[in-house]
Amino acid sequence: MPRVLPALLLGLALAVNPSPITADENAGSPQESEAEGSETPAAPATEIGPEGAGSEEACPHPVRILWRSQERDGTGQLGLAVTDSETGQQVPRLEASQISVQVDEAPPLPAEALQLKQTRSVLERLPPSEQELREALSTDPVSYDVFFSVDLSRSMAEKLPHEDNSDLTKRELAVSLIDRMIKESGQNRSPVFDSDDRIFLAGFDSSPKTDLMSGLTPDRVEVRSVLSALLEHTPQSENTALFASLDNTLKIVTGLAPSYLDESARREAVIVLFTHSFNGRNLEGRSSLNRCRQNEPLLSELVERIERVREATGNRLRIYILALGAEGPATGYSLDEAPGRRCRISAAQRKTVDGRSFRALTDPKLVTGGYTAQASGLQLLRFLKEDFELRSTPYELSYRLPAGSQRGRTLTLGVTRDGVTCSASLRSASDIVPAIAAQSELETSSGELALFLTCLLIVCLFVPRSLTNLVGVLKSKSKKKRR
Amino acid sequence: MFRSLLVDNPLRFLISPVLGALGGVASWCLFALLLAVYADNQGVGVDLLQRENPAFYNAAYFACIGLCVGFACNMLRVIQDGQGPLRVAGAGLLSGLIAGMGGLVGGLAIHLVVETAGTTVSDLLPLVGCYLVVGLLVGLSSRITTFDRFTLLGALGGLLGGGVAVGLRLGLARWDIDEAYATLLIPMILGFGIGLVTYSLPSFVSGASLRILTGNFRGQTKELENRDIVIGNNKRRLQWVLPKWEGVQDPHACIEVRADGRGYRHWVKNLSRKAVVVLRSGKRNRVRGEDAVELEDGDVLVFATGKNYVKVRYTQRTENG
Repeated sequence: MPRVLPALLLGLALAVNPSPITADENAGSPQESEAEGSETPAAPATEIGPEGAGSEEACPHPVRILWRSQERDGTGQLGLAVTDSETGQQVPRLEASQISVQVDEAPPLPAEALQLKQTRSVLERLPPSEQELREALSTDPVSYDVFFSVDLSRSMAEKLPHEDNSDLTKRELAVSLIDRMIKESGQNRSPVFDSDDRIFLAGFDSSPKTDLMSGLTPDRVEVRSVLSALLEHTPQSENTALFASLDNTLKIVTGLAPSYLDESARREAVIVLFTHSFNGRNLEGRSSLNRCRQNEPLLSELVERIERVREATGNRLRIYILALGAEGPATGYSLDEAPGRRCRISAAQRKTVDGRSFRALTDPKLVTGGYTAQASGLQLLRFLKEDFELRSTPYELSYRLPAGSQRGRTLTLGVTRDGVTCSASLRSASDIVPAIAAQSELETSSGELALFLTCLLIVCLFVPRSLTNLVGVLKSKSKKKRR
Repeated sequence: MFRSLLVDNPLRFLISPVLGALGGVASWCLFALLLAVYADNQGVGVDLLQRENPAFYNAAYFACIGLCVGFACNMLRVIQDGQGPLRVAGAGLLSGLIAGMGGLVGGLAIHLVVETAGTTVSDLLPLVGCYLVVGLLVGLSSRITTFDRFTLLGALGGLLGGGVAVGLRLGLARWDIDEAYATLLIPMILGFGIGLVTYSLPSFVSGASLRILTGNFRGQTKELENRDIVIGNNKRRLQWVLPKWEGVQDPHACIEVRADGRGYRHWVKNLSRKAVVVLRSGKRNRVRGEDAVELEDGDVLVFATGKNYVKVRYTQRTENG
């Protein structure tokens, strides 16, 4: 009898739902992306749990679904980790158009039904049992060698017209930003670089000043003493050896390249350059330049050197240029075209930062990093901090399923990057048998409910006897009265 | 102590379902404990076990329900007969173990269906089927040890409990009440249903019953099935224990059961020096020694005499012929 019943039930269930679901398939292999709009099933369910890790060997950016929350109205959310297999960091700044969501056998959801954002709140929704995963995702697995280079020219003694900067000069602002970026034990602030990261400080005015420190150091006290020295520096001229300083830093990085190629060390070189000026010296920092056009061949040469260093370090190089000022028009200078004959460096750098050169030096195709020109110190700090934080911040994907669709058991998610799609699937746990763990914060826990109901039931056991005793007492009283 | 709670009051029918529901709570506790231990061994969070090992999760859930509900729903009969705590526990445990196996089979059946066919709460028919099968298996196996008319009643109770459990499950899903409550409430409902039917409806089946009319245990009944029973005051040996302080000896009387067609007829024998009297149509018929007196519907048996006595009404449900 017990053997027959399940078989009958199975037949019944198959008749009702004729599309059997196969076992969980955690795909991680690269595949061609598909982008077709279509209908997809919906279902009232919430399931939490990490699943669907992509295969790290096959996929350059393994995808992992951390949790799924499905509302009754067809909307749903997914916690998502897309990890760069080389660095172990989260892949930053993905867009919804790079994501495909497929429920069961249905075609993928249209891109307009998806919303993607990077947020730390994803980690808060992980179940308590996934504490290790939470910590792993929220921690940047890479250690950094940070090479700060500060413009020490005369123009950096001016103040920036922005309320965030109070009365600081540009140089003081750059130094205070560096101070805020590096961590010191006991301080309750969230730094960009922690105490494991090594720091090297350099400056430049008419020549590169790379002898301020003997080498990279994690010692924050030493770094701060050099920062103080930077503030006391007396600039020689307005002409800056910006390119020469960057070139010198690249040479130091090249010397350390073998340590960056060590996969187990997971170390990267980060060059952060604070400046307000145009480059005014040749790559050796010896001869001065007057015309903006003279920078063009130097820029090309520097770009080539950056590319060589990037290759030598195995792509473990980032360059950030933080320009303390704003981009604007200047005579003979524009951001889109090569500088004209009338563009003189001394005149142009009073009106604008050299956005054109800085963009070329931090081109995403050339090197990881970025460039920004801001008059606010806070915004400069936020720019850099955000870029690092995004590499340890998972994604929250919101989606909307078409109305009237049925529930799906298996959700497959693909992330396409550089023409390669990595995917992961999440199979919902059956909700026929209810989940013992609460999915949300309940006012009354199921344990408290159980205790209350047990007490109630035990009280019920005594009700018949109590009632009988009560009736007996009432009857005996009425008999006495009659007597 | 517990036996004295079973008084002559319509509310006494509440006690069996309440015990069943308490068995449901116990099954929830046992299930949570089992999951915690298993999850600890496997190094998986309890909240992820349902996904990581659904076969274990589903089977364990219904096996725990079967074990505890089967235990709880079979205690009352033995308690009412006045047997000792060990016999109560033994009878409950045996039924519980068999019901647990029934639950295990039911859980695996559910696992087979939901994992193969991918059914969910929104798929009504498989949901109903799953819970009815589990209810049936638990109810049936919780009474399989007696293997009599009550076995079918147990199955009926299981079906009832399973049906209500489906309604509860759907209601919780519809009103977005957390599933954690369902995990607790479903075994309670199942136990309530089985307890309700197995204790409250036995009067529909053929046979006979003895109902106490006086004393502390007034209102309690003893169902006469296919075996002789001995009436006395000794918990260790006797099938139906009546209080010593009410003049019942050890052993006092015996009810013999003889098959008659589809039902049974009953005779009473006096096994003691004290009196056993059958009151029939206002006449007193004293039962002496080995002379057995055949009982008729409506007879009142009086055990012992004087101030201390117990009156018991005999009700026959076997029709002549």
